Amino acid sequence: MKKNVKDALIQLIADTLKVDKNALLEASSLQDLGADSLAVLEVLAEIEDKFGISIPDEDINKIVNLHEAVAYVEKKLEIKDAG
Amino acid sequence: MRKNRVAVTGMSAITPFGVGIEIAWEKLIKGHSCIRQIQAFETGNLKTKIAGEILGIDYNEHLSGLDIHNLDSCTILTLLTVKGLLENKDLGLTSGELREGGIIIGTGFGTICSKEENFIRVLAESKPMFPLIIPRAMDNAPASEAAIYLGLKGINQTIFTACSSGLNAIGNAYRLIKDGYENVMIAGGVDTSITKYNLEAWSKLRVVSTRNHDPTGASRPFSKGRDGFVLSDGAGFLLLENYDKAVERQVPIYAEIIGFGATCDAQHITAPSFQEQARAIMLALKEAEITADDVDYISAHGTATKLNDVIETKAIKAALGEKAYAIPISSLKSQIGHTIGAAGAIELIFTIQMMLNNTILPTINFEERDDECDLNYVPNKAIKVGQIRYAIKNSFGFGGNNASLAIKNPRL
Repeated sequence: MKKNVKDALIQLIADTLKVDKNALLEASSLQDLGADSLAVLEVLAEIEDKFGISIPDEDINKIVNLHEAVAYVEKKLEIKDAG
Repeated sequence: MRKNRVAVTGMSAITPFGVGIEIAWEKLIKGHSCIRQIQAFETGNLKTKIAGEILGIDYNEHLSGLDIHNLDSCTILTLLTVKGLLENKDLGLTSGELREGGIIIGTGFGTICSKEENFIRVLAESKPMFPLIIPRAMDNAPASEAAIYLGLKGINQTIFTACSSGLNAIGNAYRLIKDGYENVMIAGGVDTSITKYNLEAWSKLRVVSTRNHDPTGASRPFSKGRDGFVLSDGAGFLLLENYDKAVERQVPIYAEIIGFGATCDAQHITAPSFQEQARAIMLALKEAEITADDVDYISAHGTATKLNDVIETKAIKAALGEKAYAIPISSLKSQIGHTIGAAGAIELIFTIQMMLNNTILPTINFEERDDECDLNYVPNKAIKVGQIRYAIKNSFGFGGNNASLAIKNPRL
């Protein structure tokens, strides 16, 4: 499942921000890839819809780059599956 | 060239509190909120389940004789509100004088309800579209239907500048009279945008409150812990006239509009800039030929989003300097919610009510001070004052659209 989440997020973020997947793997933040505040909101909404999860405002700072997004979504999905 | 003075001789509003100014005023001075759980549709998985809906009005009864089933809700609310505008027996405006006048309507979402309903019908339900969808859903329908209803042959316009639409409509109507193009104008704003899809769309921008467990406490402008605005429906319209002609008719004058400033951030489609907001305020003051020392009240845009309230605070300080700390400022969105394109008009009407009643309405739900919002927001309780000589009304919209209006107490 973990590989699936990571692959799906790479595809989702690369498509949404229209950036190269390799650049995404190396970037320390979505802002480094040129994402402004609205683009970040777009990514968050796409993640919510794709994985059927809710990302509250107070968690936004936990999703700064791809790696953090993967860890966050995996944790949310674990909680969802357990529930 | 001699400029005309501009008087406000009529005001009418419909809010979630009900039809008319008085019914809302009685609630507002007590610090009540009109925000409730949404009744009109199932909120299901929506993050936000609260709004300021207008419920329980029998439009067929109020607008008997009109074929309202072919009108959008936004148009219906417009007609009922402008009808109220002309019910004042003291107005003394002849039908001929009125017919020469025009109307400018500001709206953020216009006829969104009809558009949504039509698309759901066609795309989701595979039914034929409404035969008269064009005249019902064209966004100038409210202004055009109002002109037909009242026989207004003058300038007829619809302004879309998001949340500053209503105030821009009033500002532009003020200019038309001031510059001699019209003697009588109806101006204001309307929005009936509480739909399931529109609410979901706002949620994706993370600017609407999700304080679903506490509807009346959800709109918390300038307070620490605020989590966004609450969407409301509403309409507000004012009758503006050449001041001298209003004096000739000995009609009651509620306020004089004396300055208007409009700017655009030209920077970001949603993130506001305090510099251009401040410039709009300063332009209004300059045209009004008043200074910060003359301003006794500011009706804030005050949406209760995290960003707006900080930026507006900075703008007020940039425009008014140290005096900003002494001027009472309140956000009526704390009680009425955010009526989008109607907000500027409705809040201007109640600013004028404050002037007439020597009372400043509060910012309710103000619980904890935000370090970045450090002005006097008249927390939680209305206050009596000696006199409000001059007041400023701010409205700022997505798209970086900033509007500020200066008004004068007619008793001065």
